[in-house]
Amino acid sequence: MTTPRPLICIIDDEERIRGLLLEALEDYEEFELMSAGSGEEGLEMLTRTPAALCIVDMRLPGMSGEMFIVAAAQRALCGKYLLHSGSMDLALSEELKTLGLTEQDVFLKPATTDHMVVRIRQLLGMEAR
Amino acid sequence: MSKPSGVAFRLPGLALALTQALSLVLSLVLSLTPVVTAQAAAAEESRPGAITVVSDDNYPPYIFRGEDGAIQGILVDEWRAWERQTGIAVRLVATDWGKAQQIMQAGQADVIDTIFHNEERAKVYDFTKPYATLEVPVFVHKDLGGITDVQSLRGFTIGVKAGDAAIDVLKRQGIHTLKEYDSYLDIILAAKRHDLRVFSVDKPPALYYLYKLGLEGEFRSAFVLNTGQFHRAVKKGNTALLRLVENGFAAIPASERKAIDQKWLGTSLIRQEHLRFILLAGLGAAAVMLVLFSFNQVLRRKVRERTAELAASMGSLRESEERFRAIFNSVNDCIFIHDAATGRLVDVNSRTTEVFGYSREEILALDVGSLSSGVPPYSQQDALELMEKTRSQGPQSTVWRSKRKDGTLLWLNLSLRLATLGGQERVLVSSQDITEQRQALDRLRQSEEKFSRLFRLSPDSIILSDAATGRIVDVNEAFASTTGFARVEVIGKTARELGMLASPDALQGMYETLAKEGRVDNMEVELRYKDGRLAVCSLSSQTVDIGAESYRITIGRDMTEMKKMHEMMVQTEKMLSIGGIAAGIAHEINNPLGIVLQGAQTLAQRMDPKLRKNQVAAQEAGLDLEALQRYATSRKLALFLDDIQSAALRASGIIRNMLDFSRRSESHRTVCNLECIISKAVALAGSDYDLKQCYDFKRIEITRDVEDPNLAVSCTETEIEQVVLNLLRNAAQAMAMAKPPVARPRIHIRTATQDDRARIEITDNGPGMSPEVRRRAFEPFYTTKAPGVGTGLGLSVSYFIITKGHGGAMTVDSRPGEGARFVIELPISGAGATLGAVSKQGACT
Repeated sequence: MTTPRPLICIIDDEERIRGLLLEALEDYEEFELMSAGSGEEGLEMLTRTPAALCIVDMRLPGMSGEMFIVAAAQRALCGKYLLHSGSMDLALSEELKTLGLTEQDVFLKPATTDHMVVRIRQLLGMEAR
Repeated sequence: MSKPSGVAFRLPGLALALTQALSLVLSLVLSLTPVVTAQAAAAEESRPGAITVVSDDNYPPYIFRGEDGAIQGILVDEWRAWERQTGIAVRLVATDWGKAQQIMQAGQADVIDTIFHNEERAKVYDFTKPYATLEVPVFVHKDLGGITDVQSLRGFTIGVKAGDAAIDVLKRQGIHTLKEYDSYLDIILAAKRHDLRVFSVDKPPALYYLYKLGLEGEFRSAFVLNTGQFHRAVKKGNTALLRLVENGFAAIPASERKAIDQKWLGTSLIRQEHLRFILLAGLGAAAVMLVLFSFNQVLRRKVRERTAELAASMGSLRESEERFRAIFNSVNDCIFIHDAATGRLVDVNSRTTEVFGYSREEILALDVGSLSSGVPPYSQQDALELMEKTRSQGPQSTVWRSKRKDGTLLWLNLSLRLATLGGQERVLVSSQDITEQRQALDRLRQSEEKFSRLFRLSPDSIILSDAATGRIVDVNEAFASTTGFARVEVIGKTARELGMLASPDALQGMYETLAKEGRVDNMEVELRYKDGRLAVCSLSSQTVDIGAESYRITIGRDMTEMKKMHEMMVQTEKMLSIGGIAAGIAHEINNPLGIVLQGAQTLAQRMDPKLRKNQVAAQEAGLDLEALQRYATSRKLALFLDDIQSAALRASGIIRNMLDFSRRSESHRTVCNLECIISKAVALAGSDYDLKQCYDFKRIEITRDVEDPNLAVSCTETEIEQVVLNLLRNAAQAMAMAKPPVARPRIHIRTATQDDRARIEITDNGPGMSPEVRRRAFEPFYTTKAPGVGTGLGLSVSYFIITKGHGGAMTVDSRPGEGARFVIELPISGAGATLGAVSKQGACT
């Protein structure tokens, strides 16, 4: 008997980052995965299929990563978020902190996938296999 | 003879020429004189061809000027006769008496005529026998009574001729109020102008001039001061010349001599005597008639005469009193007269009343104490003691603090002397106001004090050295504390001798500029201190003359710290701009780095034979994963993948450090407990991943020295934590790299307060640093670690956080083999108030 795998959505404007992350997480065979190239597209996808966790690039064309998280949280489209950012300027804002995000949820690029998976499992209450 | 000599003292140059010409002519004449004379001359042993005779001028009838200005008189004629007798030419120079004596003493004349004998002169001259006897009377104006002898001359100004024998006579008897004139004529002219009422002039010229100027009735001869005799004199010891002069005059026939006297005495003096004789005869006749006519009248007249005499005497006394009173009141000194027995003030002069602001009556009612500051040693008691001292020990002088009526104080310079006035014993005090001098002296002293303080307390080193030798004359405290040389060990030495020159010609440029321009401004020179440290000093120097000596004043400022700071600031600026650029590009670079890292990771992951998905894919492709694994190991594929990953992480680490420069510090400023921060940093160091790679931090013995566990500073906690961590990491890495390894690696952390700063010292016993490394320790990108181990940014970021971010200071002290000590100083100000709050929380969270 298999429990349904949690759905993870990756939002990043750079296709190769998105692609590599999908490939790496897929190998764990613990998650369902989908991805979007912008915040707008991501919201659209989530509206159709809400996700358990989003990995969000902060610097995005159009709506920023922060705006995406705020919007998604308001509409309860997703429960947990990891920040995946290229620069420190775009670290945790006060608003994101009120949504329950902590420093442990911030991953500065380039980030090691292993570390990220450890945090994902924590957030989703999964046991390491 | 008289003609050329008359010209002589008007036109000396011409006179000399004329005299020489004349002597030549005379000697020619002499050579033609009869043989008898020549033989006599030969017997006389060394006869001169010509002699110069000086005498007084304007001494009629002996020697004086005619209408044409030429000299004439008895002496002129007698010397002419002498010349005829001896065959020796005579140049007769008549000039003012003082000058005549000078000429004689200077050896410019052979004989001096018209000279009186006295003891002084007998020491330098040999005299002939006297040839004329003259009275030297004192003449007084006809209105002056009471002058009958020398003592009655006191208080009068007496006109005398410079160099005259009368001067000695008067001075010997205590008369010093003499006014000297160049000639008798000048004296009589002064008398005519009423400038003089008493004078002493030899009788013959006096009568001559008084008569000539129509003053014979105005002045009378009061008494004869002295009787003098005219001599001729030669330089002491010149007996040959003396004999020659005597014999020459003795040889003049009596008839000729008489004719000369007749000629001159007959024309002036005799007439004068005639006049007086007629006058006396008339008076005598009148007296006889009066006696004859009425004895009664004589008696009455006698009474009248006595009365007049008394009145004259009284008037004279009053005049004398007035004179002294005028002197007393017009002098510039304050004069006090005290009763010697009681110290009571008897009299003061008007100057005293002016200076003190009291009237005479007011002042006489006061005691000295009230006229003084009143504070010992200037009290009434002190004044009485001073007067008593004057009585017992003689004249005293001292400085006195006096007080005016308005209460202001002044300094007087006192001279005290005992005197008997009107039969009473008095203390005479004369004093000058020296307040201004004292104030000027005080100001000078203050100024001196000010400048010496400036010298001593200047934060810059000041060196006073001898300009010629460069030897140090004095240095100030700043010099001693900066260079480490004590004052006593540098005085008398040069900078070179002290070994202060970093290079043999370190000061060459300064000396050259000094020689060329006289001064040097802010020249940077490298000097060595006593402990061997090299320092860049900015020197300004100037040569100055103090008194007769030439000195060099050099002011030096240690620029080492400032230069280091300046360099650091330049670097910081650079880093700030790098930081600014880094912030912009970090994202762009980190994304590709992310792809590189992610790609390498995924590649490694997909070769893992344990991963189910890999097993499935390999089976489908007919690949033996175990074989692939062996191949990858033999071809080191995993190693390459690791290389890619670590390179990507390293690159992103550099970017992250660069970003630290652009972070804002002020935002999270809070009051923090310093000990908590340090404890956290120590804990972090223990679990530091990078550190673990090369060294086990737990092997290092960490010791703490805590002065105040509640010491608080206002700072950004994470930043200070990062700085401390950086320093711990730096120490640990340095000890890890040490060869040979440090046996018992130790880091000592000490915190203390100094003034208003918190001080953190982190000392290790590692290998230490060379001076070069120490100098560059805070320089960005400068590292001694192997490539990839350190970025060379840790210490520069730390330095930047402490200095720029927190207004503190950060220094390093280290020598090879002696470990290193980093010192951080942070301002405490503003933190103290909230210290309690922090400690109450007990918050080392």
